[in-house]
Amino acid sequence: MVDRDQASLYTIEGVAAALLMIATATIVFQAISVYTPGDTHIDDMLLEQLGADALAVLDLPKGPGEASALEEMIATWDKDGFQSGFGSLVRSRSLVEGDDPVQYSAEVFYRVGNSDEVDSVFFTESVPYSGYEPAVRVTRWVQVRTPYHENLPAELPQSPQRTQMVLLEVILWRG
Amino acid sequence: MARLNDDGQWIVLMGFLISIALLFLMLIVSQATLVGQTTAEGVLEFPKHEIRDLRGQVIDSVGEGEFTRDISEDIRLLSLERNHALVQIDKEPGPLGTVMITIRFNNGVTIYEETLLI
Repeated sequence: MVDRDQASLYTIEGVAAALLMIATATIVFQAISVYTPGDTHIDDMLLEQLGADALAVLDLPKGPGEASALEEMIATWDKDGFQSGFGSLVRSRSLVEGDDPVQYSAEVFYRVGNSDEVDSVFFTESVPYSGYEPAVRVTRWVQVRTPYHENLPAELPQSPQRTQMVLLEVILWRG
Repeated sequence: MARLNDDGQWIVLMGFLISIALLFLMLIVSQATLVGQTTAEGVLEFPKHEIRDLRGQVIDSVGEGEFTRDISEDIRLLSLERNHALVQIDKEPGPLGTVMITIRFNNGVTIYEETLLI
């Protein structure tokens, strides 16, 4: 039998070229990321960061030893102030108005009197939360100082009139 | 009988090596997805905002002399009920007229402890 392996170099070249093409195709197709349900935590993470940042901005003291805007909003139960302050902060990423429709619903949790019970009172919201939207939750501690403002809902001032720490909870979603 | 033709052995060997190399590359690619997922989940679960907020509020409150047992109990109970975290704040007199505050935070995944002189 005659040896006929003169073309084996071409064969190797063919194999190498094929591998190169497959690798290129793989890289190109992987560059287009497919959004799977398992990736939603990335969006949640962004939304949570946005909400926490907005609350942190509102909770910045106006001066040394002074109360923050957020503390004043809760202390005077200023729903409109929260709507304009927080609402514009969470939606200010987009240059076009209404292009980034982040919705929120805020609630205040407090300790009942000096007991071991926790209760909540509704604060404000942009649109009613249906319970079906995938939402994230951000919280912020707020001090409510004495003397209490007359606008505070009746549940919130606790029986021994004292400065208390309440937890502002904001539910955030895109809708 | 014709002589055994074994000239192409090194082509077979090359193919074998390349397939093994591809196998390892595939392992790396599949692990990368998993690593990205767990990293993102770790970031999501890490209570960065909660700890920062708690720390800031306690420092403010102690600095203004408004930190009482009632406030400490508010924080403990609300953390437990709403943030699923055990929080304990101890206040002791520190050196040179300062106040020594110990904040302990534990939500089952993240444990944080800090002692401050205010």
